[in-house]
Amino acid sequence: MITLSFLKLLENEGFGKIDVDLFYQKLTLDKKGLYIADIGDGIERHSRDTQGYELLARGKNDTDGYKLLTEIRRFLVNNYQNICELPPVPPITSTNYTNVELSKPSTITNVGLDANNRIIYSMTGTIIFKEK
Amino acid sequence: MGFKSNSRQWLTNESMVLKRTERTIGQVIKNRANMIAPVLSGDLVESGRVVDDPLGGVSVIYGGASAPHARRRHFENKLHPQTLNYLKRAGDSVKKEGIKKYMDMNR
Repeated sequence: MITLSFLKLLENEGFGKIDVDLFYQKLTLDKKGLYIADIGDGIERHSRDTQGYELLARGKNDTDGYKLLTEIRRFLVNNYQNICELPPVPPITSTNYTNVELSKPSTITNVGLDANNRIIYSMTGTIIFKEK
Repeated sequence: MGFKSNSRQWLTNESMVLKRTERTIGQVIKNRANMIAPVLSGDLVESGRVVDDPLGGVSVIYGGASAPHARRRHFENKLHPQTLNYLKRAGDSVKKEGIKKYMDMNR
């Protein structure tokens, strides 16, 4: 659920609204917005865990998704040292994550065209965290 | 005074990193293929899965009893020709990025 918590952070920062244009693990939903998916197995790193994530953006037009990911990337690059906690997502989960360390996100990749001729963009990163 | 080699431990660690990297890459390919695959009933994208190959490595597979048209849609689609080769294109997008990024993620 760490990636859902991360999505909540993006919602709190004004990048969209969960289940409206921010989607958790719903890659098959054919809607415009930002999708997050876990990638890889969680790895234990001393007293903390690591989870990889992928953000996939589907925009209104060819550049919309790219712009959104660029804004998120800029936010994460500027703030990754300041974000030490990730919020709970009630009523789904009340878990709080502390000792958070967000890695610098990857560059943005063009994945290709979907069935409705919209370009899909992708960006990956990792979250190191401790579950409270 | 002596020297103790830790190469066995290093090899074990690197093998684990490689194994995790393979699985990560498989999941990324599946995620991306899900986003660009043609969607009508949703059976095709729902059939996507990452399986461990008994000969080593992982495979990303679409198709099966619920989506017997998966292979055909990969090579033939008159309604949405831009979705052709969805699995190959997803794999190519990961290949372009290189393996290092995913290995670093799994260290």
